[in-house]
Amino acid sequence: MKHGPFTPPRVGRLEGRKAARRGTRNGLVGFATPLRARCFIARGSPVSFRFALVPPTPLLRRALALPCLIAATGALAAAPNATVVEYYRSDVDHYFITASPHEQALLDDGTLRGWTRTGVTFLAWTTAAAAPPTAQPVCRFYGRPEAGLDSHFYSAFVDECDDVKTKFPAAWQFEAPDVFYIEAPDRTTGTCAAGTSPVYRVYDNRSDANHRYVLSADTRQTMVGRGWVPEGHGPDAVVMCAPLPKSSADDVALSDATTYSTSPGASLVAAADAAAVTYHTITVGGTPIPYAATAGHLVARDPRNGAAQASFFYVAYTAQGRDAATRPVTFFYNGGPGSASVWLHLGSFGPKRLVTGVPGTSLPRPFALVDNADSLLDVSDLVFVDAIGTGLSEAMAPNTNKTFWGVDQDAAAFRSFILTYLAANGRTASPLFLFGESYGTTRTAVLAKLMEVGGTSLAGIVLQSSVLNYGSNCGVVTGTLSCAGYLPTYAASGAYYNLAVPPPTDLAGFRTQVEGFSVATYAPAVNTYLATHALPDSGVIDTLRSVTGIPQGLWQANFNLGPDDFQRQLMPGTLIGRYDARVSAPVGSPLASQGDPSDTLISFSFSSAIGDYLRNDLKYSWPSTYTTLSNAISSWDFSHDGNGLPDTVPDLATALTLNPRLKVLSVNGFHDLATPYFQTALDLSRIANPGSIQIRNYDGGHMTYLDDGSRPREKADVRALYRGAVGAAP
Amino acid sequence: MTRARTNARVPGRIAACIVAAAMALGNALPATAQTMETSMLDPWVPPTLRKAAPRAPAGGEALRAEVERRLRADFDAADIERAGTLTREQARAAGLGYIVKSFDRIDAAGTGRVAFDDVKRYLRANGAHL
Repeated sequence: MKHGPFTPPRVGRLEGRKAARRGTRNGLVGFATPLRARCFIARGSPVSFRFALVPPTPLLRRALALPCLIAATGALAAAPNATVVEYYRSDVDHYFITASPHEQALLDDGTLRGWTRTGVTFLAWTTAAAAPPTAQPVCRFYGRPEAGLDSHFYSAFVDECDDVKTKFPAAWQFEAPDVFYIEAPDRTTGTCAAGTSPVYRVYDNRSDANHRYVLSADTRQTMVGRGWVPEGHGPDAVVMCAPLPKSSADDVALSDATTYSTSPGASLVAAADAAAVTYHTITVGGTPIPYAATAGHLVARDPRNGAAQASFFYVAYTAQGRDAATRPVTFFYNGGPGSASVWLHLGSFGPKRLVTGVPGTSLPRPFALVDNADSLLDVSDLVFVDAIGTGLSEAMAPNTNKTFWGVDQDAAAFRSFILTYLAANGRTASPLFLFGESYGTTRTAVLAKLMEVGGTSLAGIVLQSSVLNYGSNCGVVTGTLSCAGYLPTYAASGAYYNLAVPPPTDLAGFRTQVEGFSVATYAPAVNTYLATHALPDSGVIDTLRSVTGIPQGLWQANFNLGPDDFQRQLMPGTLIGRYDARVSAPVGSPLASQGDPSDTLISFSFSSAIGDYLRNDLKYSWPSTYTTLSNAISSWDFSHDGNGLPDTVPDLATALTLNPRLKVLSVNGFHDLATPYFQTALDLSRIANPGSIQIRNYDGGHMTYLDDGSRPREKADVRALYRGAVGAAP
Repeated sequence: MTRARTNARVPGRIAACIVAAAMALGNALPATAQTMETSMLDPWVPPTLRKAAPRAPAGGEALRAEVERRLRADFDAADIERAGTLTREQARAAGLGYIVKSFDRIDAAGTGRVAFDDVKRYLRANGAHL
């Protein structure tokens, strides 16, 4: 792409402006239909090619129609793999379209300034090989600024392209013969074939010769009302015919008769790769994205010997009109271990999300499931997959679910699933991302190492609320480990309830100060306390009191304060949440009855929503139970690399060694008492690759994405990760 | 929907509740009763495992050395002839795809065999902190 459309137009010579107008408007009077010519060229008939050079007679049209129709029917199988996106720049009142993901990224992220999406998109194909034989290459010209144009022109008619090229070389620079492929309308009637939608062209009737290419007749009329001129074929002035995305009429439901079990000893004897496929549209950032939702099972096979390991249940969201070579695919999973991936699936960046109102507790439950304006579908296809022995995923005989209930066994099975999925869906060239939460970050570190050692490169990783080292979290290994890494979380939580003295006005500065105090003063004092039970001087205790709100007496009684005690002691008579300390409930109340108000608040809504959603929206039905949390955790093999409990920081470091281009985004909530944000930073600081790892923390708990203020910020940071990982390569 | 009432720190009871609830629901599941949920514990480990004293975690230079030790151990395990070098096929058989896919670049001299030091040199040239 030239930078032309992004610089203000200069007043050009009259000759240039005239040429521009002639070039764009007269080009419509052309030769024979390139559509038919291409049809015959594709079929290898030199005679037909000769026909194509003269205007076909009505008789010839009929004679040629049949083979073209056959070609077009075969073409229906060629799914569009490009999306043409329209942009607008208000200061010059110019419109611009592009199907290039690279150009779209430059426009979207502001590298090329001033352009915003109009919401107009239509589908197309990237190359002749990807397109049906009837599709036409679309050429692109750039109107030179020195000719007073600074605008682009597109045509799906080869003769029109040639005409502009030969007649107006000075004003219109030929940029490319095929920026995308699309069907062309009938030259006389402007009619588009079935399964395609007319694209109208309007011309601004000004010297700068800007054009719009729009799908909607209403939009075209609006532009005509502003003095723009329709240009094209037939009475409706049609210039292209865009393939229509698949719609709900194409849905394929699945009634799965299999009964799935999450019992340790359960396994399936046989399994089919079967899924329901439904078609939907989500609007993200003002742009509608048509997508397919695929819900069902895929048998993961051991890459070493092809042996079936497990039938994984997954829901994949795949945007229509994207090129598998450049479109990222992201695998999401929760943790536990033993948790299905319902939390990320219905809470974070999928096309639907539950409106929780967290940290508020006032919304009626179950929560409403709504379209997710912060979905990641604008940058990546999304695959939510349940671990074996959770959700509807089950081992295949002779394995049992328990075969895979271990750190290494589980990660190896996930690798098998991902490799099987990529191969089965033609996605082996797609940039590959992992997005795990909690124990899912443990899984990610081990899995990333396995993938990189095996020769499959990852593009990026999102660590959502990490527990990379079970030996550093004093809420997990209770009694012996230092809780110093929790102190900044206690302080953030105390400040949330206005218990810090004095109340901090600058929360970021306050956190930095507490983090420094934790490292320099509290951590050494805790180490001394754990070794000798000696307490530090009262100044340290006073500081702990002032930054957390926990009284001095409680610190003296329990100097290495753990998160369980903090939940109960911050406010007497009130239990604050483990997963989100901002959610609280009176002791004895229903919300507090299960030990974590923030979990009790949301868990019923998630577990009830997934069943209805799978059945009603995704048209996947099954006779058994979808288990959001199995009992895998009680018999899990936590050993890893010679330790009884996993420390996976070396695994992540190994993955980064084998693939230094791998980008990692670590995300935590300031108010998460399960995986404290500062401990995550300490764990990651062991890896000396500062350029590879970004750390972002937000207001919120374990599931930062539930917070309506934090979710868009996290989305923006995740989006930036993808941009950095996939790169600016065209 | 049956809410499993459990002590948040006793996963064994969670399992019992899941089984009981599943049996109670039987085959004729109403539309909203086809999922199970219990209190989430993640991260959590059984009490017996908490005694597993974690090794002092390596960081910085020690972690770099640890990574090298692991890669070298995988390499040596693949070196079934104890030759100190691997052929492409030996690397493939051991699942060391990262060596296989870059074998020709690692084997700069074109001997058909690569030593661990060749691998290390290649990774360093690739930008690795190794």
